[in-house]
Amino acid sequence: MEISEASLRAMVRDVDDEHRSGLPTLQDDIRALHAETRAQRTSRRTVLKRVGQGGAVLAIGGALWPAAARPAGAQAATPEPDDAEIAAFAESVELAIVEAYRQAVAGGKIRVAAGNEALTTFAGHHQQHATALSTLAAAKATRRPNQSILTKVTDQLRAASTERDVLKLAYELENAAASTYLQSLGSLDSTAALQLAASILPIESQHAVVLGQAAGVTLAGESGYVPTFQRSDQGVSPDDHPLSQ
Amino acid sequence: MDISNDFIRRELRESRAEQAAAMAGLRSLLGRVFGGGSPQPAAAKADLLLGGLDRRGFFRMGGVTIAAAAVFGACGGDEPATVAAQEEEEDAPVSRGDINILRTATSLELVAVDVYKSVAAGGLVTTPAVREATTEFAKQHQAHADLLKGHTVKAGGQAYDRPNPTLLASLQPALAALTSQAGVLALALDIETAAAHTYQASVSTFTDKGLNRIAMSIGGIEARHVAVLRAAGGQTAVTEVFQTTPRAVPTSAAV
Repeated sequence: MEISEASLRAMVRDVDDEHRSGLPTLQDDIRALHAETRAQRTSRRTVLKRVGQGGAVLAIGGALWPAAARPAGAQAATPEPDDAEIAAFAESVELAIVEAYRQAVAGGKIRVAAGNEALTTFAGHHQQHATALSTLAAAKATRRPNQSILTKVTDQLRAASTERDVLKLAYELENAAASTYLQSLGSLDSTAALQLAASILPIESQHAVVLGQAAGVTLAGESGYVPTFQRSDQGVSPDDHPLSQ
Repeated sequence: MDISNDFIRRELRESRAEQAAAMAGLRSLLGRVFGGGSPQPAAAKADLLLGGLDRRGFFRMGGVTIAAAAVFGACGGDEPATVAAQEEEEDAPVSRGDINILRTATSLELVAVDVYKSVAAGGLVTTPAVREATTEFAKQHQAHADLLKGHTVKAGGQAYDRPNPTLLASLQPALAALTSQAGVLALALDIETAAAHTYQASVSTFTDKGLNRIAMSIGGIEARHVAVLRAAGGQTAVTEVFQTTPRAVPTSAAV
């Protein structure tokens, strides 16, 4: 690892108590705005559904979600998702990450305590993101991890042979989440949904910085933990990872 | 980036007070101008914030922008006035407000470029990892400005290609007071935080919804800059569960 344990611990000092108090208000705001904007939805771009793109984009670090693994033509007739459906999908992604981090910590491959503390803290953030998203998703919320994603991540965690491998996987998950939110900004309609996505994306990006540094990723370059622009090609799609029912 | 930051932390401890004093002037200035109940007339706020920008356009929309985000919100609330055919984007109505936001954001990015170049020339950044980061950040801000200029032109506007002169002038005392790398880190953190908050605050204010993605493709990176700078200074890298925008220009700045 290229940063000390003390540095990593300092970087992820638990801020849950500080911010948990703001969550009820956020949820109330989302509920109100969701009701207000639901009827105003107009036609949207189809960033998330990627209709007709065949095996084009699908990432989370390529190795995790190889395009070849996608069922051919799986998304041919997918209708455009609405805000609630996008939120429900994002909720499932967040919960998959929560579970993945729980497994990563339980797996014991990270020996540095600060690494486990980072994953535990970030899992708490993702849980709160999921809670906010489930409010936005309302009846469409599943409150379950995305099983397709979780299965792949679980396999990757099992295959990870070193602490660095696990941290790199977590780094890629954070990049995938940030990328997914960036994609969603082209599809979401309501102010509440847009602002929620915009408030989560920077946090997942910052998680990526911490985990990227811990995993020894370089700073610059498109695969670095500070690329020039937030990438949109690393995200996950509900067409490839449908919600668990 | 190899961050074994004992040296940085030592410098931070020694010069935190110095930096706080240096930044107090800027914060005080911005607070006076944009703070709730500010006695400053709207024209004075706009003069400070807009400098060489299209002031009349902003007035018409009733907005301002800079070290934070009220300008974006105010501009986004303007009535859409289509200014150019969007031949490449099938359904992308563009308003004068969008153009002004893009131009203003460009001017802010170029302020960041200018500040990073100034501190690099000053020789205060001595730790290789910090120098690598700040050099890269300067390049990235230039790339952000270039992208924003491209979208400005695409929207039918005229690209803005200078650092915001008024903001740059307001930063001069803080720049002149810098005497250490720790001070540079703190000043950079202030600028990056303001930028990150500003982009987030701009989301949902655009007439062309595609610009939400453009804004956050940059805003997400400014947030990463924030995390790197905090870590380099020995601070908690991730301080929120949801990013909020307290450093955005408050809505009270709207005219």
